[in-house]
Amino acid sequence: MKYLDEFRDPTLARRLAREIRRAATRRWTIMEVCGGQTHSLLRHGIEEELRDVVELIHGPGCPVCVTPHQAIDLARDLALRPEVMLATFGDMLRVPGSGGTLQEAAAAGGTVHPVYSPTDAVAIAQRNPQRLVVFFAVGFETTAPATALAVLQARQLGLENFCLLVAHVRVQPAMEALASESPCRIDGFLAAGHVCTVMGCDSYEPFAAQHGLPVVVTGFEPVDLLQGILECVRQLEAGRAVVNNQYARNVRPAGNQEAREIIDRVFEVCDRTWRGLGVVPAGGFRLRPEWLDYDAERRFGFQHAGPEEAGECRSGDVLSGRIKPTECAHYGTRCKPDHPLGAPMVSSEGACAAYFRYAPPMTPVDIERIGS
Amino acid sequence: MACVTDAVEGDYVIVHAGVAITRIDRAEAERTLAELASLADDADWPPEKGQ
Repeated sequence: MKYLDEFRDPTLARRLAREIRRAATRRWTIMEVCGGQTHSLLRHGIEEELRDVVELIHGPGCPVCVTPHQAIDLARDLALRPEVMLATFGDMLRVPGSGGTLQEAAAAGGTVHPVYSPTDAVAIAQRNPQRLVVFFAVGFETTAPATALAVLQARQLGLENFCLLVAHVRVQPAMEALASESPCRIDGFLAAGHVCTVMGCDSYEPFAAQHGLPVVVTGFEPVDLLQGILECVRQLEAGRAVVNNQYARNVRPAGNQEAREIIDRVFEVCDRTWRGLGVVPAGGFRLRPEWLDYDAERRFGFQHAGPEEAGECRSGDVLSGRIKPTECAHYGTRCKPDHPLGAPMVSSEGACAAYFRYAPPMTPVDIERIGS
Repeated sequence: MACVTDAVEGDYVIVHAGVAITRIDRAEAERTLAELASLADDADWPPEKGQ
């Protein structure tokens, strides 16, 4: 495949790893923001290979993982109503809320449809005029255009039996929250390449300058990730903190204007609770007032529930990079992909699932570190 | 293709949740690969331990 195989070239990857070693005079701590990047780093052994020169900490870029319990509970409540058909991405089905998962709701007689695209949910609404189809909309700025298009399509079709439970999140405000933590362990960021295809990288300029942190917009193949890490290390060694676009083949400085306009037609920025980070100012999207007919929370008169309950799952610590998945006492014992305690062990972008699938067995150094 | 209306036959796009979100810019891809190639030449020296 063009422009895919080239970025998986093992010779290039080895040379980049060597360049990173040459450039680093100390061990730097770099956060990769996106869960897709976490999986690639683990899958290709990059984290292990660079362990002595770079500590990679895994960011909150897994939309399924950061969706709070309350939103899942609302979705369960809806799925169990006989007049409702709930549609959402497959990853959401096994994520526990405070009262169980959507899959369990389906087993208890609720209706839950896994879909690939929000527009599939519109098609379900067309086929089932007697039922109300609620699309549980999770995702970052990468997914928001697809959800917005579904709403535009529903209006064009005059569908009255389609609405959204919106849990969309915005990445940069969450990075802002992490960079503002005191103390901040992060020396630099690998920004999420696919979010930047939509949002661009210009908006990171003031962020990098204000926090004194390099931001390297990075792709997902092993060569992309190694090149992003090399650029980040070089900046850190030179005492620079600017925005660099490693993923220029897909990311334009101002992003995708058409996609941004479609988002802006349907959504506006709001504060949003992120699992692990609490309320992130400007951390989400909600429907604009003129689209509130499509808002499930308004249709059903839901009130937002109280604060997020802390369960046994330490997803908050994992999602904010405070601990590695292996540092959780339940990792690999009571919490595994087939019986997860929390979302990061379920999702294809979750850090715990990435470790479970790809990480080598723990070394004595890890065990000592966990013990300390 | 509602978000990448300038794509033409033969282009590669990235599709997310059923919607194309970006078109691969071949010139930028080649530029990045050329940068990597020059880095690789330089990285052959000094040789790695054990080689």
